[in-house]
Amino acid sequence: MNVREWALPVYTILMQVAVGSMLGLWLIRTVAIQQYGRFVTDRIIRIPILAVLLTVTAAIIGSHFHLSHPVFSLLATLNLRSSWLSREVLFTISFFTTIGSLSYLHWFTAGYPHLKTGLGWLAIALGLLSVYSMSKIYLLPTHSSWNSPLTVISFILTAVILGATAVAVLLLMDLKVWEEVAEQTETAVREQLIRQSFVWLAGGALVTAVINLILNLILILHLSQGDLSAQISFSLLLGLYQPLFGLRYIALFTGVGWFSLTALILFRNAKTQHEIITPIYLSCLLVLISEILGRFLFYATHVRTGI
Amino acid sequence: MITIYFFYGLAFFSLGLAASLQLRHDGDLPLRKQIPWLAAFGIAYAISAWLDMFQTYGTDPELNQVINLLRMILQPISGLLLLIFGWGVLTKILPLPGWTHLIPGLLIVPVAFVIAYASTTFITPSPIEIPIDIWSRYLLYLPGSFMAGIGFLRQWHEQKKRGYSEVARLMLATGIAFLFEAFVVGLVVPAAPYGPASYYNYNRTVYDAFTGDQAVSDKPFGLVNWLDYDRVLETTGLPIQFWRMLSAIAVTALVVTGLDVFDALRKRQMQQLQNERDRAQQSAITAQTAARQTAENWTDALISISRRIAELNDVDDILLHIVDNGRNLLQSNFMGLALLNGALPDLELKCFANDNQIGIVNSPIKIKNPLILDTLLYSKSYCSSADDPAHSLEELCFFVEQSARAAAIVSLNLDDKPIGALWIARYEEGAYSETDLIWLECLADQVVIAIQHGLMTSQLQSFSIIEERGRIAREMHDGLAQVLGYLNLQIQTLETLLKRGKQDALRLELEQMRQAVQLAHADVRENILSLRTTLANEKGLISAIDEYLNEFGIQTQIDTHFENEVNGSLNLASLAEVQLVCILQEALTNVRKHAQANVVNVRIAQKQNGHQCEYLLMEVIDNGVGFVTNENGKRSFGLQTMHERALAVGGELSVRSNPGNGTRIMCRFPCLSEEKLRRRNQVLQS
Repeated sequence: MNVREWALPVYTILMQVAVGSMLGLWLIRTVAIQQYGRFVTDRIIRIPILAVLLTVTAAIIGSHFHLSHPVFSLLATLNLRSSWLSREVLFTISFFTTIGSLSYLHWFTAGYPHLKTGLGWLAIALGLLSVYSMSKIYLLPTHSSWNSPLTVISFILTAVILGATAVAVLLLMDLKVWEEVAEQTETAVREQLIRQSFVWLAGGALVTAVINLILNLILILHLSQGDLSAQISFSLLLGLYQPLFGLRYIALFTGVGWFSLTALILFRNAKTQHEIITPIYLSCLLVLISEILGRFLFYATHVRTGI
Repeated sequence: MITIYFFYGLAFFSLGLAASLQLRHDGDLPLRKQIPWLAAFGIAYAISAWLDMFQTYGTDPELNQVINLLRMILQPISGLLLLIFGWGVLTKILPLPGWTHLIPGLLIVPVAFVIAYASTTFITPSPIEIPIDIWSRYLLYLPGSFMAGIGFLRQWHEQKKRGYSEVARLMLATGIAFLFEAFVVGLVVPAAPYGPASYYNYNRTVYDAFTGDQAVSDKPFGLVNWLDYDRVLETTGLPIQFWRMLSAIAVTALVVTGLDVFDALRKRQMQQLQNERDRAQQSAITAQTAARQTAENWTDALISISRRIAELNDVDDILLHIVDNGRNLLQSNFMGLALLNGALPDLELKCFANDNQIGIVNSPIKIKNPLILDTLLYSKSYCSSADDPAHSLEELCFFVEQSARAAAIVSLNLDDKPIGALWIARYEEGAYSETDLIWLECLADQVVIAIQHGLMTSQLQSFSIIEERGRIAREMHDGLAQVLGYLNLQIQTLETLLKRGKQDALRLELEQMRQAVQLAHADVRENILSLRTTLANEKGLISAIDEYLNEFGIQTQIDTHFENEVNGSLNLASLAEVQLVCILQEALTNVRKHAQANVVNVRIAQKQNGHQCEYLLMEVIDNGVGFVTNENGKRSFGLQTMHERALAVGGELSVRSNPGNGTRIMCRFPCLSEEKLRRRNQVLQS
């Protein structure tokens, strides 16, 4: 792989991070509004929403390195009827626009609560459609290692697991940035929100990681029993790329496990929110490395047959 | 090349050694806490460089494998040590601004991509030591040196702000040295078929990183293609190891010098702090001394005022003394005292003191200042502030042209009723403190006491006069009136005897009348003498007694002798002196009236106990008829009075007499202790 090829993992992973973060963030917001009120909750998620916007922006910029003629990238939207790529581009741009609008509303207005809620769910829907379109691109009959519903499911699962860990990091960043200037009561709400939500985020990440492993084992089984190209992919995965395959799952379960343990310790008040920043950041880093390696393996092990 | 490798390793070893030696010095600088990591890095990296030297020299293949393994272990370890040092320098020496908390979170994504990418390069056909070397440099040495460089540059900025230009320059040089090290140690890597170096060296890539096939591209993708060892050698003519050695020498020299400079700076700051503490202590001592002096001045002033009150000085003099002292002690230009003449607002200036004069005001001057009148109306204290309008402080100072710029006023209250006001004023700005106000209130209390005492003294004087009149009336009734009544009866008797022609009886009656008149005359003269005898301070007790005895001798024709055995002061309390004179007068009256003596001796002596006077003895001895002393303790009225007078001042009195052998009266009065005597003398002298 070279720079042009690495642009694909950059784009797909960042989009999945953004969509997953938005999903996790909006679920937390929905619950938190009932408990702490709309005003405080919306103030708490301002920085995370901005971070999602920056992530989508980086993803879109990164995607252009994959193109021969970046300036003509919008032409890719002309084939909506037949091309999943066109749909992916459309949904990505829509997701970006919606997140941009949401960021504006959160940073520069105090009202429009229903509009914010609606735009948030719309953004999640558009993001998930973008990820779905992204995965559908790879369902090609000529690529037996990709051409499976498992690809779609694994793309969605990746978004969920990356979102869960990224939201944890974003909430801690928000706490750290505002703690010196925010009112004490608001900081207390932030800390309480982190303690309650991290257990659910970690639980979700752990379950998703297990499902992901099972799906990968099914895929390996499928490849081992498939046609020649599948066999070659199988041999590449467990041959040349075996260390990376092992490293990917070691990093995944170390990250998710560490995240779960830290969330549990926090929930039992054995440590403060400030004491768990480094473990959570490192957990997120490990999960992200794992998913990047997974995406690398996804691209590196494919073998094309036919035309 | 071997020589270069040797000195290359030696430079880093020197860095480690110098840093280790710095640890032996005392000090609690934040930078010193990071030095162990730098020392460990220097030594680990030096060993790694020397292992390179041995590999270049060529050794046994098996030994070469061991050396290679050691090098692969040491390289990431030394990189990790440098990373920890850099992180410490960046974050632990100076606190980071709040926004920097965002950086770790934002760096997670790029770092994850770099690590993921780096991990993919380990499965390429190239030897494993190459990716270890490359990624140790990119992921550990580069950020470690970069953070250290930024940390020192922050120090440069900080020291420049504090005005330590010398230290700031050193920090700038150290920061640049670390950034140079970040470049030569962290960014220049061996050429390899993968990035980032591979991106810069596509034209030298000979095979695909993952498949091992021939190079798929020779395009550098617009990036520069010189950051590998060969390109550095080609461009500079010197191998990268030379530049790294240079960076190590620069870092070593600058960090060691920096620590010394920091130490010197810390010592200088400590010395400054010590000097400041000494100055503060000196100031505190000076302030304490001044406060003690002020307290002593105030105590002296209050004692002086109290003494004047106790000595029944003239009230006006006392009030003048108060305002004069108060003005000086409160460092004011004016002090005034006004008393109510009836009811508010009829307030008149009583006395004042300014910079040039003090005086009692005889012609009435009405006080119109609203602040004084308000203070009096509400019976409270007032202290002006800078916010007070200038016109409110007008008409506070009298007999001067200047106007007050600051003032403090207190009301004078007698039995919770306002009777006047006392105030101080300054011509310059500078508000009075709470302490000043408290002192002014103390003076106001003294003023009230002086006025109250004056009133009481007047009443007492009236009572004394009434009492004295009563006593004189009693004396006249008991003495002169009785005699005159007796003479009236005798005159009637004389008329009867004259009518009857009884010349002998008439002569006898006349003789009795003459004796009665003589007795009355003696009584009157003695009373006059007693009334005239006073204990004038300027004469002293001994002189008064001497004069009294002389006069007594002349009046009574009794031969009086006075023996004074006391040299100097009698050392008696004032009250005891009064009682002593009264006892002497009573004793001599008894001598005149009853003793029929023609000689009376009065002796005064002191009983010494070492250097201290124990008691004063006074004896009154006559050669009269004497009398029988009562053994049952019953005494005549005169003797009983004398006895009580002696007891009242802690003395005692005894009488020895036998019919025909005269009478001896002895009284003993305790002398004052040295301490009491000294204090009395001080009061008298002042």
